[in-house]
Amino acid sequence: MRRRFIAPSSLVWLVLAAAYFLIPLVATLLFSLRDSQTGTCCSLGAYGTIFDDPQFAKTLWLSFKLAVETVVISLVLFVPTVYWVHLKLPRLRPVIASLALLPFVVPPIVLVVGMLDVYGGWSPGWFYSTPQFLVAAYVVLAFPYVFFALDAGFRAIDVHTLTEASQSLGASWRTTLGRVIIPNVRTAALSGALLTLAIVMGEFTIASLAAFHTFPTYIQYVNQTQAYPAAALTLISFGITWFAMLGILVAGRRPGGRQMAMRGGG
Amino acid sequence: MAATVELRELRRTFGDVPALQGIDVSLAGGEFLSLLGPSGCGKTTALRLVAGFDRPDSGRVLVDGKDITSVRPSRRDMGMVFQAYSLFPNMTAAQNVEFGLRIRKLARAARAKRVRELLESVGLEQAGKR
Repeated sequence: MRRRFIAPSSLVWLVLAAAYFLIPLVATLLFSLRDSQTGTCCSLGAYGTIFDDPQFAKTLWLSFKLAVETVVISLVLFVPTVYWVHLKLPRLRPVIASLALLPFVVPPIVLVVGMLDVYGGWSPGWFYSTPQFLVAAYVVLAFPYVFFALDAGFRAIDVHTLTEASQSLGASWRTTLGRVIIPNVRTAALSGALLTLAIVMGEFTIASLAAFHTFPTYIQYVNQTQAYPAAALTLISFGITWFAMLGILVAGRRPGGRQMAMRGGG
Repeated sequence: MAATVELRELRRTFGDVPALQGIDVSLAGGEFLSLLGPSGCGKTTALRLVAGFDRPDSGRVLVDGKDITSVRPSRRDMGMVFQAYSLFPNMTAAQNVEFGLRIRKLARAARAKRVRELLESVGLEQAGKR
C-alpha cells in the first residue's frame, strides 16, 4: 500500500519552509501597498512611481541584455570545452573543476579591481567604458555554475560511444556536436543558463564598483531614497526574474519532451 | 561492394600494457572473420584501429590496398556495431536509422523510403516515432 497522505512530520517542515520563504514576500507586499502620504493600506501609488520612472525600464533592459550576452558567451565557450575534456582530456577535469571554484574564493571586489587594471589602457572604448565590460566579469562569475551544470550533463551521457557512433556514420566534428551532443546536454545547458541569468540580474557589487548603472544598482538607489516604491520594486524584480526563468525553461523544454518519453520506453 | 581489409604489423600499447604486438590480418572481399579470445586480449583494440577511433603505434590499415591508417573515422565509410547501446537518445527510432543517411546527404524522399524498409525488415515499423 502506498501512503496517500503526507506524513505529519513532513507537513510541519513543509509549512515551516513555506513560511520561511513566504513571510518576507507577504510582508514586502503589504508594505509596498501603503499610501505614500498617509502610510495606510491600500494604494498602488508605489507601483505607479516605479513604472513611471524611465530609469526602471532602462536599467532593467540593460541588465537583461547583459544576462543574455553572458549566457550566450558562457555556453559557446564551455559546451565545446567540457565536451572535449570529457572526451579526450579526462585528467584535466579536476584542474578545471578547481579553477571553476576560484570565482567563489576571489571576492568580487578583487575581481573588479583586477579586471579594471587588466583591461584599462589598451582595450577599446566601446568595451571598457560601457556596461559591456561587465559581461567579461559576469562570464567569470557564471563559470562555476555553467561548468558544474554541464559537467553533470556530460557525465550522464555516454560521450565516447555517442561520438564514435556518430563519426562511424560519417558525421564530422561539427555535425556530431550540433546534432548529437548538444541535444543530449540541452537540459544541463538550460539549468546553467538559468543560474547565470539569475546571477547577472541580481549582481550588485561589480556593477556598483565599476560605476555602471544596472538594475540591481537601481534597486539599491530606490531603496535608499524611497521606502514604499523600494518594496514595490523588489517584488516587481522578483516577478520579472521568475518570469524570465520560466520563459527560458519553456523555450528550452519544448522539443525535449520526446526525449523523456523515449527513455521511459527504451 | 565487398572490400578487402588488411592489417599490417599493427602495434598498440597502452602504458606498459601491450594490446597488439604486430598483428597481420588479410581479409578478402566477402570473407568473414571472427576474433576470439579472453577479455583484454586486444579484440576491441583491433576493431577500433580498423574503424579509426584509435591510432596504432606502428603498422598500417589498408582497405582495397589504400592506406587509411590516418584517415578520420568519419571519412572511412565503415559501419561498426558497438558493444554498449549506441542509440542517440535525443532522436526517435526512425531518426536514429536516418542519421547516417542524412550525413551522406541523401534526398529526403530517398531517406524516408530507406528508413521505412529498414524498420520493416526488423519488424519495427510501428515504433519509428518513439
